Amino acid sequence: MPDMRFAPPPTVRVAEHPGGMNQVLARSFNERLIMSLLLQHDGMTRLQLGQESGLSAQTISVIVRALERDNLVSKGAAVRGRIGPPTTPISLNPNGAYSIGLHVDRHAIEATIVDFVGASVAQTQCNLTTFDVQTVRDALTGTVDTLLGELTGEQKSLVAGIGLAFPQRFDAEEEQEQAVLAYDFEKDLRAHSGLEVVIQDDVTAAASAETLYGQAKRMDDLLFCYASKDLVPRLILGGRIYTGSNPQISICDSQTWHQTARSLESDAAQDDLGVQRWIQQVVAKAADLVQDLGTFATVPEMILSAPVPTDVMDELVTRIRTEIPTGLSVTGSRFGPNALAIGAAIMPIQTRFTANTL
Amino acid sequence: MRSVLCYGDSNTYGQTTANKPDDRYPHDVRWPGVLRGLIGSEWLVIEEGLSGRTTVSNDEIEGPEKNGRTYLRPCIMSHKPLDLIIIMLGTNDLKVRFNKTPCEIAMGIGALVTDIKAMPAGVDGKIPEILIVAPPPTASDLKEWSDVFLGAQEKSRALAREYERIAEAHEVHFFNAGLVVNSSDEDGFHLDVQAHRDLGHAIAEEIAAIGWPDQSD
Repeated sequence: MPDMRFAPPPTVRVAEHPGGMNQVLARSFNERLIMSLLLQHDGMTRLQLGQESGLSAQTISVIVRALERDNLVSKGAAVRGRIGPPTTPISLNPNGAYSIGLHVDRHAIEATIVDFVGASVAQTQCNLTTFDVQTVRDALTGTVDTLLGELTGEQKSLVAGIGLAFPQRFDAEEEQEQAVLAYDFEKDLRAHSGLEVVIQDDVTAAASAETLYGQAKRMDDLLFCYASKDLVPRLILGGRIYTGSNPQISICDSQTWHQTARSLESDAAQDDLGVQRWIQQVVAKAADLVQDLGTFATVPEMILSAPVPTDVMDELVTRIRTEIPTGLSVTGSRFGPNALAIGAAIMPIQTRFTANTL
Repeated sequence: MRSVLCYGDSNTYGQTTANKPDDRYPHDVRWPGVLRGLIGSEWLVIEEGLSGRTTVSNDEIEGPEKNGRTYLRPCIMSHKPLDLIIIMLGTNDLKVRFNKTPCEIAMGIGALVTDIKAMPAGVDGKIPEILIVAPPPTASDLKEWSDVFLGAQEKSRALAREYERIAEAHEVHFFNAGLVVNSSDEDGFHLDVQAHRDLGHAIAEEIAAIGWPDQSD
C-alpha cells in the first residue's frame, strides 16, 4: 500500500471536460458564498472577496479559478487605483448560466429565460383557454420547448433549471383550482425536460428575486408588495421572507381587474379612469399596510412590483411616497410587467449557485 | 514593506539563451528584476534562482545542491518573514535521468508546498502566501540538450494542468507562465529578454490580484 499522503491529487473540474450544469451540483458552500457576493456587488477584487467572506486569499484564488474555468465569472479590465497596486475586479459572466421561469395564472402562462445576471433574454406567453390539469400541463411543456428553442445548443447545456411559480389562490372555481394546485407539475416538467424544477409561490419568488438581482440587493429588511387584483405583501427581515397566513389585501374584484389590465396595455393607460381608480386603491391600501406594519416593525425600504408600464409604476411610487412617513423609501421593481415570471426564473439560479436559500 | 521570495531554476537566475555557462542577464533584465522595477517601492524582491534546480530530486550528475527541496528550508529561514513565496520549478525535472511523469513533477511541487506550510515563515508566524508558477513548455528543438531532455517537449506541455491540480489540492495561488511567454527557440528551454520582461509584468499583476490589505492594519 502506498503512503496515501502522497496520493496524486484529484482531477480538477477542467474546462476540457465540460459536464454542463451537472458539475454545478458539486459547488461547495464557499463557492456559493463567493457567487452570492458577486451577485450583490458588480465587480469585486479578490481582496474584497476575502474581506467580505472571511476566506483566505489562497482559497479565494482557487475558487475564482474554478469559476473562471466554468465561465461563471469574467475578469474585468484591470484598473489602477489611485493608491496601491492595480487590482483586477471579478464579475459574474452573464452568459455563464441560464434559467427558465414559468408563471402560471388563471388565464395564461408567462414565461421567460434569464441569464446569469438576471436579465431576460427570451420571453413567451401561452393563453389558457380552459383551466384544468391537462391544459396547464400541456401549456407548461410546450412553453418550455418554445423557450429552449430560442437558445443555442451550448446555451441549452447551461440551463440551470426551471422555476415554476403559482399564485397562492387562482381566480377559478374551487374544484378546478384544487385540482391544479394538487397536481405534481414538477415531476412532469422534470421528466419532459431533464432539468431541475423548483416550485414556489409567485410573490415570494418575486420578492426573493429582488433581494438577489433587483432593487433590494444588499438590503436585509424591506417590505415587498405585488399589486394587481390584490395587494400581496412579503416582509423580508434579516434576508428571510415572511408570508402571512392571509396575506391578500383586495384592491378590486376580478372583473374590474380584467378591465383594468386591458386598459393598462393601451397607450394612454394613465388617463384611463379605471386605471386611475386602481392606482388610487393601491396607494390607499399600501399606505394602510405601511401604517399597520409600523406598529410592530420598522423597515427602511418598500419595493413595489406590478404588471404595469413604467409611467404607471412611476405614478404609483410617487403617490405612495406622499402618503407614507418619510422614514420609508419607496422604489419600483426593475423587473417590469414580467416580474413574476422573472422571479420564477431566478429561483433555480438561487438554489444552485448561491449561499442563500429560498 | 512586504517581501517576496522568487524560488526557481535557471529561468529565475536569469541564464541567457546563449549556450554558455553562467551567462546571466543583468539584474534589471531578469524577471525578478523586472518585478522589482514594478513593485519595488512596496516589495523586497528576493531572487533565489539556481541553474539546474529540481523540485525534489538529487541530481547525480550536477550535484546534490540542485535539489530544490533540501535548499528550500534554509533558504526560507534566511529570508523570513516572507509575505509571498513564488515557486517556478519543474523544467529540470523533465530531464530523462529523473524519469518522471508530469504528474510526478507536479507532486514534487506539492512536496515543496507542504514543506512551506510546515514552517511558520510568514509574518507573525503565519504561513506565507504561495504562488505556483507552471514553467512554459520547452521549444520543439532542444538542440544540444535533446538527449538530456528526451521526451520533454510532450511532458512539458502537460505540466500546467498537473500544476493546477496540485495548486487546487493544496489551496495555493497558481499561474501558468505559458500563457504569457514561450521558451526561446535559441536553446529550446530558456527565456529571452522579452520573455523575462513579459513574465515580470505578468507576475506583478498576479501579485496585485491576490489582494493585500493595508499594512497599517
